[in-house]
Amino acid sequence: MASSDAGTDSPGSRQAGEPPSDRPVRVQVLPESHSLHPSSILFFFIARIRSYLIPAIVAAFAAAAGSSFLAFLLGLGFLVAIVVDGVRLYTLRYHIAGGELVVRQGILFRQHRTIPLVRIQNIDLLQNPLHRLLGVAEVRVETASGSDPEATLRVLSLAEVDRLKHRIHDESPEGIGSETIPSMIPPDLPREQELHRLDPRDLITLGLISNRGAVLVAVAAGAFYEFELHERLDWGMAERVVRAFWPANLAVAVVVSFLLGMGVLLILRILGVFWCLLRFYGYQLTTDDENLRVHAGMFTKVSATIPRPHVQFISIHRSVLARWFSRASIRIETAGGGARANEDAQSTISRRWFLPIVRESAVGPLMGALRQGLAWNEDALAWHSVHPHAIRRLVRKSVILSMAFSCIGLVFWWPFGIFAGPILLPGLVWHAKRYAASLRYARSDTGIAFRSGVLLEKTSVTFFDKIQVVDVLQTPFDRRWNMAQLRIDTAAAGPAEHRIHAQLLEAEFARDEFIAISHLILS
Amino acid sequence: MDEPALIDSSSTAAPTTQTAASSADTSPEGDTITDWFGDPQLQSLDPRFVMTERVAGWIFVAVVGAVAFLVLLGWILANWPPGWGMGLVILLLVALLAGFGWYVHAWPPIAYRWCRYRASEEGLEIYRGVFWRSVVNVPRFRIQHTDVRQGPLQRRYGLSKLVVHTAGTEHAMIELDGLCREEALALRDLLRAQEEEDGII
Repeated sequence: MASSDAGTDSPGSRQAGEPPSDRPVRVQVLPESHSLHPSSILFFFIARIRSYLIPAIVAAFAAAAGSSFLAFLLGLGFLVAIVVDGVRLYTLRYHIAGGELVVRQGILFRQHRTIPLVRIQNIDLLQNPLHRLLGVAEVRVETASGSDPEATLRVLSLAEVDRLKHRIHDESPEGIGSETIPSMIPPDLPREQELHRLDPRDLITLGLISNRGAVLVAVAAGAFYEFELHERLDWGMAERVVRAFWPANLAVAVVVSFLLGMGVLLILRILGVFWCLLRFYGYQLTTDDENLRVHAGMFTKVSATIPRPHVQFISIHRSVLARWFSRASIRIETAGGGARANEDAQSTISRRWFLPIVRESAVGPLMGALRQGLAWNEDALAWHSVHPHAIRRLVRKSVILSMAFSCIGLVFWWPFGIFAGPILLPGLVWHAKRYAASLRYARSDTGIAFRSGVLLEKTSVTFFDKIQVVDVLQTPFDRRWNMAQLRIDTAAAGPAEHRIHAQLLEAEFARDEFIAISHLILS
Repeated sequence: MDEPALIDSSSTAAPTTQTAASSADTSPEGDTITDWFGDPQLQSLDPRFVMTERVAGWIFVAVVGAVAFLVLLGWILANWPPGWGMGLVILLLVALLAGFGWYVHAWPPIAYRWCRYRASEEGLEIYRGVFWRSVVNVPRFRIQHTDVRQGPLQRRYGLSKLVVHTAGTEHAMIELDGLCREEALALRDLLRAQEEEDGII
């Protein structure tokens, strides 16, 4: 990293207010605005082609059937979109002045967006193989509002990214401080401390214990039906094959099914391993004084920087398999851009799978690195279990549920459907008991920890300076059992998929905790 | 501004129709969170809230009744002469409407009794819920901005709704309906005093 700038040397210089020597430089910098890299149009073009792919296939089918109107319409739409993109691209100018990032674009509809640097939650950098070939990268800037990045600079040359980084650093008020824009260059280790690294062996373990393969198959199946390929399959032949191989012998049938099942399972796991290798190859988590930085990716490289004070919520997930292997994964949440519908390479790595796989022994030290000063020792926390009658309540609920299943069963399959309830009951009761036992709540002097989940066990922690709203809720049923629910709301945007809803607590305890938390968030 | 009290009351009416009948009992029971509602330091909503909600409810019932009446009339005329089944349907509808009318009349005082709040330099606390009882605490420095809203009916009765926005996800918006206008404005001023500080860090 080129640390030629005077500002990069220490964070201490920022606290001394505005050094007068900076003034003339800033005035010089102010009028200078920058545009995107010339190759940007190529990436816009590719993005457009990608979004037009499915309509284009439909139009091609229509054209093959003799109607080329749709294809014409689509071509026209594509052309207009490209022109609009081109205009937007060549009019886009950005600069940093007065502690703000200013992005202007458009001719007819002008947009002038100002993003105060202190409000920036995180800046991510993405580089796919084509980006790398051209020596450029895509920059995404997120603040706490909304789901989409507030500014996407697609694309900048790496030199320009570096310049932007230094400019942000020079202009920053005390808020985000040193280098918030990541660099594609591997981290500068003497200056940045490495927190975590994944070698291929870890990634293979991750692929084996995650269910990613199944997700990939589901996506493939979705695409299969999307393009209506299933109608082109020769089901008759498949049936003949099955008939030929389906033997009269039951034992052989069992063996064949078992082998088939194992084969499918194996393929799913192997797919998962491939996915993990692609996404997390070369994974490295580092930190400088105040930012967390992740680098990962085999072909599409992602680099994300999250200012450590912006971490709202940390969640440790442990699936059944992960517990067997004594591993965990850690997700973090910031206030920015969590509610995005589709998960792409960038959001995958920077939030959901922030630390995709960690040895149990490393969880404690890593938690301390994610949140400064956090001494994380799960066993030492003063965990509080649910109300002693919680299990009884949940079991009663599952009995009622199984009765409901019996009734539904009767409606659909008279009269044998009545057995649906009794068949499901043991499973429901087992789950109810385990769930009640899994619920744990703890308060320390820095924050709140909460654990829940039977198969996928989630342990989440948030801090008093991050809690937005706290409330305690009592339903009519809670009232009957003298229980209450304590809920903690933060600005965390959602990818950890865990909410602090400590249900089934003793009412007095929930009340006392509510009062205590209300006081603690004020101080 | 776009909060007609009319729609508001209908939406609260929907989930709990007939069950409201049995809950005339508002005396604090022996459990803990309910006891909080009896705290003498807590403030009640403006008593005019009851009247506003009732009027809104009546208007809603009248509109629904009128529409039902017109539809029924058309149906009867189309199938003249009416049979016994038709009479039964009409009777059922009238009973339903009457029950609904009684509910919109009886519910507002109960809701009024089970809503309390406390506002201070520290923040806003809302105690609310007839069946689902909750206490929400919003620290003042977590408040991003506040709205004071008024529908046409509320304007007539001099009431307002205070809406507090936070950076939270589930409680991104917390509403307190049925304050008198002056009180709502005073609360807004009290709660916004610190606005230059950042809510999310």
